[in-house]
Amino acid sequence: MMRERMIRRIGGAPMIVRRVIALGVGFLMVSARFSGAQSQLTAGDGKSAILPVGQAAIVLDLNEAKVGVHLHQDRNYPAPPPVPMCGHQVNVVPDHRELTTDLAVAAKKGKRSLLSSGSFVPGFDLSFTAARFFEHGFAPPAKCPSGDNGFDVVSNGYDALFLSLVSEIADRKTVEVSSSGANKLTTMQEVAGPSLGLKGGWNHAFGSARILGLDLEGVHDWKTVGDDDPSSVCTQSAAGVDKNGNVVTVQQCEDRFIGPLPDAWHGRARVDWTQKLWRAPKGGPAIGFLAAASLTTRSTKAPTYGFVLGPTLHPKDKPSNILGAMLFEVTDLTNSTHKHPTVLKMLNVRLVLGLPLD
Amino acid sequence: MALPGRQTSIVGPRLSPCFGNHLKNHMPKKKTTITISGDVRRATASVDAVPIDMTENTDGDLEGSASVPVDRAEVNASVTIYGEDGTAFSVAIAIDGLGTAKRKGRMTNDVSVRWWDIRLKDFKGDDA
Repeated sequence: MMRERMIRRIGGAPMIVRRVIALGVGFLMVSARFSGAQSQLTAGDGKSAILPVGQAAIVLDLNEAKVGVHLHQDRNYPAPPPVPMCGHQVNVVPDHRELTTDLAVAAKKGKRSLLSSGSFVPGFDLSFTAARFFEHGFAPPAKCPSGDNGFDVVSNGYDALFLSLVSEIADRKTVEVSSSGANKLTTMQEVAGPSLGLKGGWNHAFGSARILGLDLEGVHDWKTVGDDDPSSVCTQSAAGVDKNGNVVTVQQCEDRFIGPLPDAWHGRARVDWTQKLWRAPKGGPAIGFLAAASLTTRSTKAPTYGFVLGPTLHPKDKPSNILGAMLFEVTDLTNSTHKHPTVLKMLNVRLVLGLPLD
Repeated sequence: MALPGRQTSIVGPRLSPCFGNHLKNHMPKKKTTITISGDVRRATASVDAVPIDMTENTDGDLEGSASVPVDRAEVNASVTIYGEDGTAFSVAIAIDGLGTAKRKGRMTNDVSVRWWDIRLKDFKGDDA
């Protein structure tokens, strides 16, 4: 009841108020234990293919109003023997395996636009990922230090293979109108739309600050809405005539998808690139960027193409953590769904704020 | 100030390598723990050439330990840290009964290789 009242109140407010409320809900409801280095960001109708490692922060994703936990287990394979370098036996980082579990609950599941209406679409994501990292060590310094107690060198990077089991469920409000009968029966209900799939991919790090990620995903969706947008469904609660003879109706409206919802398959290929562009001296803040391109095919619709590009801000002394990101997303570049005829309709902005916990 | 658990009898001049190795084999080993804090992707470490497997602890730091014979006036700690240019890190070397020695650094490239000869008197108790 309280929720319905809140939605009704939001629905009746002016657009600017609704946007501010949506923004506030995003700030208040979202907290996630988030990986630090090479953070996995949700953008462009999917997650970046850049693998996470386990460092904690609070991340505010203002689009889906999401709260989540990230569990991480790490196991080293046997260490390679030390390498003689500059008169010392230098230890080399061994190959390792990482297992991660991510569980997130969203208040506005599947919302892509930054400030959509204040609708409440509950849902959750659950994924298990196993990754195998092949470390490539580092080259010796061009000149060994004399009388020093150390040196810094460039990493040869690593390769990582990963496999994920991904699932999600969203609560969809639907409306169905029967096709027969004089008085067409209208049924309004809430339908759980689950999906389950597999994702596999590869990451290559050219050093620690430039990473390429590729992945392929195949998912079965039950009662899916795909790329459809909800329709505004109104129920007339009262009607009358004012003193001038004008007909006045009172309606309560909300966003609903037209049912029945179909089952479908979708597949996605995605490539991500992340890089640091600039660092302030003495371990100061760093600025980088994330770029991604994706191809999504659905068994019921034409393929869609998406792109993401945007700057990322990284804190002082911790360049692989994220303070913030502003990701510009282009969905359905070729307008194959006929729902994004203009650039403005294709373009979304996704804001991510990260607050390091340590 | 007396350090908790400090054994002054093991503080002395460095022994000759030959005698030192003989003595080392008969000295009781002490648990030595290395903890690396900071925005560090991976790390590995050793104390007196004994390798230490580093894994993430509950605080999100990388930590590992090994039993090392402490028979000299100093120990040699060595770490290799993988991170990004600009990463600040700190290394804590704790020896049971002796205390903890701390070192700090900041990376100027992707991999930082550091080593220190730390005198036993530099290990401070937790209340120091």
